[in-house]
Amino acid sequence: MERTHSGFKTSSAKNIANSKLRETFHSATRHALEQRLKSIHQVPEWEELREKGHQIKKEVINQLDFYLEQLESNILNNGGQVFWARDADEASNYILKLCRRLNAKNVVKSKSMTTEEIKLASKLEKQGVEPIETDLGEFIIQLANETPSHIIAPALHMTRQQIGALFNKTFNIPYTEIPEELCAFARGKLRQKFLSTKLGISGVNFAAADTGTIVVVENEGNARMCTNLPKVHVAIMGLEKVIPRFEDLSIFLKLLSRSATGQKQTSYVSMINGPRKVEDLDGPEEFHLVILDNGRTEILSNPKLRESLFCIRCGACLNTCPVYQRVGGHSYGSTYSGPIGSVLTPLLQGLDTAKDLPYASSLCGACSNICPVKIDVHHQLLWLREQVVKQHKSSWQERLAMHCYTSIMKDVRLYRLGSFFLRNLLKIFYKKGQNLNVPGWSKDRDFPPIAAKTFKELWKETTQQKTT
Amino acid sequence: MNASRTEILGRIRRSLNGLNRQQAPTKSDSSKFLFASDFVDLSRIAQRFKVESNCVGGETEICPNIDSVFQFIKSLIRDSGYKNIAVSNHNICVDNQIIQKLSVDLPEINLFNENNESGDYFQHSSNTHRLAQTDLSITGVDCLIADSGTIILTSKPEASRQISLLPTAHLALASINQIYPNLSTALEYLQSTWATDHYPTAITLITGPSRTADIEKVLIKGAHGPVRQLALLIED
Repeated sequence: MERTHSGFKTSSAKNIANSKLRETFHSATRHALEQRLKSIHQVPEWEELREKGHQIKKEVINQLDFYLEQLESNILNNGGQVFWARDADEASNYILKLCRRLNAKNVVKSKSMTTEEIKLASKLEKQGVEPIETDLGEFIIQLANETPSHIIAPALHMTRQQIGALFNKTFNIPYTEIPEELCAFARGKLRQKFLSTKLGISGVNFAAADTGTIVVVENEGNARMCTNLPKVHVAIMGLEKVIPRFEDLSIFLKLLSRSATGQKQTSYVSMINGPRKVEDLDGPEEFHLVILDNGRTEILSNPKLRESLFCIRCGACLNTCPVYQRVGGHSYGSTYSGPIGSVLTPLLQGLDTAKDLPYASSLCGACSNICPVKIDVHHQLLWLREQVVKQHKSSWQERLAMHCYTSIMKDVRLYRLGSFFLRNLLKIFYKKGQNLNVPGWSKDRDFPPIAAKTFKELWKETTQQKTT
Repeated sequence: MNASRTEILGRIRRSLNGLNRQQAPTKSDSSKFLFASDFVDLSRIAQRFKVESNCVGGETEICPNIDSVFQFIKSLIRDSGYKNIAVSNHNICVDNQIIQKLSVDLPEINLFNENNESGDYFQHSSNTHRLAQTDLSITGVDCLIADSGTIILTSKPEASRQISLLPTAHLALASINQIYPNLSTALEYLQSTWATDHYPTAITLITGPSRTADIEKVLIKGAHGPVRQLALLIED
């Protein structure tokens, strides 16, 4: 399903009015945050660990060419193949060509945001290759013809009743809304596919340059299936996923699993060094790594925003964001949602197409505080806003209002005068007993009543009381 | 090597131009990057593993000797009604004659020794299809991690990658000497056993059974991988 991300305002307004959806996201994100907090309490040195993660990412991004070449040469040494893709089409076409060579009618896929980004599934489908999503959440939203609403939990927006009805309709099985039964059905269905498909596609969480190891982190076991059973395994990674050394995994695995799901370790971590060797009993005969640019080198060229390439896609900034908690992932209309998505999307796809997104934040800074690799997310959003304004993408009314606001805030006499008039003007309206109608504000909520005293007055009283 | 490679690397170099860049990568201290909370009481390391693995839905038993291991396996098979059992060729399985002893004591079950055609069920199917029909697999491990209840398996001639993935339940046999306190020390140990240019094709970290919470955040065991993840830690 193709969507545009021109309308954050429109779609978020629609989603926020859906109280069921709002409740779903609110409780799910709160649950995720609680789990995360519990697991982090066990690591009193969490802040040092974040700093270490930040430093390693900085090291790798500053020498990205070196580490990518090292990664490539080690993968070749391991017997794997490497393909560099400038954009989404190049990456998809490479995979499509593999399908053709293998005469594969279908492929099994594990969850990967990068494949979502390049819309791999829909491209394969158009060319007659059936892409089978095997992560339970992805499997569900593929059936429903929807897109992920959360990096970690793609089907977060759907209820068990909706999923039950979907399975009932699609597979003609008796209706059930018991999660265990739905899961067991999907397990059986997908097991047959795993055993018969020739090509498996996975994402990459980390790629260690010094050993040529790609690492896939998951809980279900579907990524293990995709990287074990088919004849050929293709892994696709954004070029920023490389890390310098195998041993750095001990830092990043700790950061990722705790930040994403609050687990000490996810159920499975697969570290893969190329295709099956002669002494191995099983495993794919071919291993391919696709290294994807698709706008990332553009981000790299911007020193202000380079840091956004540190992202390890844990989803913690989504969970903690007061905006995301209320509007949900679909409101962003892009592959990457939430605060980091609001930074990445305008960068990957152009500010023109996503100029709403830097505003999808209260700039409270919760995203930057929670980020396991210490990306300064909210300052990047602020910087992007500046670019939107500079390119005159804000309305003239807004620019005028901000201009006046700036002059008033800079001058204490003007500020006092302004606030005096505003307060008394509003008081008159309130006296009439009307609910204040402020366009754009009071549609879904009441305008707060005017306080009896100003902060200055209250402050004066407090300090006087103290001295007496 | 494709044309895009040159272009992408060129773009990266232009983007980073002007940055004061080190030519040679610095040596990492990641494995030395350990905190007090990473260490566990070594005298109770097996207990710690058990506690942590129970927390994530794994089942761990500390066995004083090999006889109690057999007692456990036999009652597990009987209680769960397992019919098809696969056994790897890890030293711990071969040395303790797991296959031979089980076939004597439990003549009613089907035993299948990986990498060895002596298995008597599904004669004509491949290793993969046999494992897909297997109720319980028994393997050794490369090492274990106490502070997360994790077992680590690598691909090797003694065991396939699928034997710990396809069966309904997977049981790992280990000596308590194989337990390392944390991920850093476990990875460091494993790296020391591998030649720098010849790492195992697959290194798999397993922490509890397969799980998902994709439907309304309800935690379900056994999404795609084993529904039960067991470990028997042998003390002597």
